[in-house]
Amino acid sequence: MSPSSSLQPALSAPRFWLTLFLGWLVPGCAYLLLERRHWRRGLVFLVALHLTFFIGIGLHGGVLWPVWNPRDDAFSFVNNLIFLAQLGAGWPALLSLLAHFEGWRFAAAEPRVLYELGSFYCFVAGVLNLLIISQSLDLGRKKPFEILAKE
Amino acid sequence: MSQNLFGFLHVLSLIYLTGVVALVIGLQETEPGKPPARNVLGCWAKLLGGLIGVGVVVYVLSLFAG
Repeated sequence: MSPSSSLQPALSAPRFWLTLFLGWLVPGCAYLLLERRHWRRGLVFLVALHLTFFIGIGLHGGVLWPVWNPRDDAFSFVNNLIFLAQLGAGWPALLSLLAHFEGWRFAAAEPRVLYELGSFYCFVAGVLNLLIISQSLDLGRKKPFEILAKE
Repeated sequence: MSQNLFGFLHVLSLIYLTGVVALVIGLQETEPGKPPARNVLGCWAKLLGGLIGVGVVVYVLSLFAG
């Protein structure tokens, strides 16, 4: 039997989708939904990603709705990709986006001096959360090495 | 905002953001139960070194830009 075929899914389908959804919604939470031995990492990721995103908000950065029409002069493909990456940060990103639409006081504001820097913090938090989700799902789909070794 | 503070915030951000990226990558590379400090610090050093290298190259090129 090849090593790859001996890797059995450890997460059931509903648990897989739950981990995917909650891992996205609450940044860094994906590891907390895996086995107990991963909880410390999960906690570190949870704190680090929230802190990073909210530092970005503190610097007047945030998630702004980009221009999607390619014929518009303000259209920028890079901005659209950055927007999708920022949305990877889950609930803080959704709140930031909502704050812009609602005109809340702490909404992202482009003319501010530190807007670009703050938004970059949000971007990093989003990308790292996507990385954490993919890694945790990968861990959840395979049996740990020590179990494989016993088999 | 003074230019000094503006630049200082960017340098601090460079250190902080590379630290967070190194923390996530370093922890993911570490087997559960083993101390992650070596992986995290190694990753942080590589990232910071690479970015400072890029910064130096950009600075040198800017000297020739007139």
